[in-house]
Amino acid sequence: MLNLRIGAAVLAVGGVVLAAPGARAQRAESRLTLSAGVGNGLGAGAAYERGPWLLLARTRYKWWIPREIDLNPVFSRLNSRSRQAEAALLLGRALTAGAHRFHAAAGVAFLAGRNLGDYRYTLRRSGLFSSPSTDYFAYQRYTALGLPLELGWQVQLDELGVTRLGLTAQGNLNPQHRDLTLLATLAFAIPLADPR
Amino acid sequence: MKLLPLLLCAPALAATLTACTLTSTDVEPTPPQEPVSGQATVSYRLDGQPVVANNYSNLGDIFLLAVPLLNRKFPVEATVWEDSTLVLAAIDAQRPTEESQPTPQQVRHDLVLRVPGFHGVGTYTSFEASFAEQRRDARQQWQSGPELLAAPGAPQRLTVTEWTPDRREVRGTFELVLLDGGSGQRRVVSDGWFFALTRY
Repeated sequence: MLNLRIGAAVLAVGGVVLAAPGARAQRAESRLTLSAGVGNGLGAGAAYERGPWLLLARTRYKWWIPREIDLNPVFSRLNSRSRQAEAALLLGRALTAGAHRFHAAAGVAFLAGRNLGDYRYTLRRSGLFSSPSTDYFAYQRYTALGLPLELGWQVQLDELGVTRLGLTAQGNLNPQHRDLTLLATLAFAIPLADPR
Repeated sequence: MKLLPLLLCAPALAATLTACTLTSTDVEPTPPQEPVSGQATVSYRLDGQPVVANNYSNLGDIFLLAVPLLNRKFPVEATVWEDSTLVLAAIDAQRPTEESQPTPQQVRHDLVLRVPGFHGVGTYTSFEASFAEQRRDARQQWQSGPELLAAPGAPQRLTVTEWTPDRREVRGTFELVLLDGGSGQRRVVSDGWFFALTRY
């Protein structure tokens, strides 16, 4: 039920973008936008933009130490983390205001990942004083379908709007690990031939 | 044009309603079946969960470990006695190394196998076993649980795959079923693997 409620909230925000005046006044020019982002995860995406509409394919990978497991994030190895990879297809609307562009999108996502479980054992390597070692945990491996949501803001860095810098909030509502990823993104918008 | 927001909402609603787990598998890490950092190692699955005991030569760890071991020098010890009984003893003292705070509930497992009539490479089906699970209480003292013995009548097997008397190296596999005489609870030891330098 919480999924539904969060979904409704994000859709409401998306609705504001949709209903905003000016969206309709845009010319139906089309672009292909390639973007990459870094934040509490790594993301990359490709969007086909036509007028205010955008069809967005995105992938995202992130890893984290669950709160229940008390590990020092600096020293612990990568295999002591939960992970999630996402591939999603979203449909959205964009709103351009001067050099700024806002968008909201929702769609369907496929997720693959693992939830870290209990600690099991440690393999220590021999060293006189240092002990480089690897901790092993039980985990739950899963694949799932989820509801991906995205709110984004981009600002043009050049006159033509080819290079854009922005922030993206990516949500994913799914039964395994509800997730919010904030990414700083760099995007390149390649103009495509006008369909008319 | 009123249809456009609906078009956007449709996949979102569909996904919300269909958001589901496709597959979900619980995975236990595989216990190592090779000498960890070249030292004596005993690994097995206890009711499916991996247990790894290993001798390692880090000074800090030896001090931390040796104190609670009391009557043993090393976590893994193998001895061939004069009556040619092979005794293999393994305590795992596991704790996450990178942990920023000590675990409140620390568990370790003490497994001892006594194989009479040890004659090198071969399969032994008649041997004694004793096992105890130890927990650390609030005062950091190790409290031992009930002693479990090899369940009578249950299949048990210990196979020595390599025995080099000159280097005193023994290597092999084992599996058995343990029985708590008090509660009647059974625990299954599977995928057992060992490598050790024996003492005489």
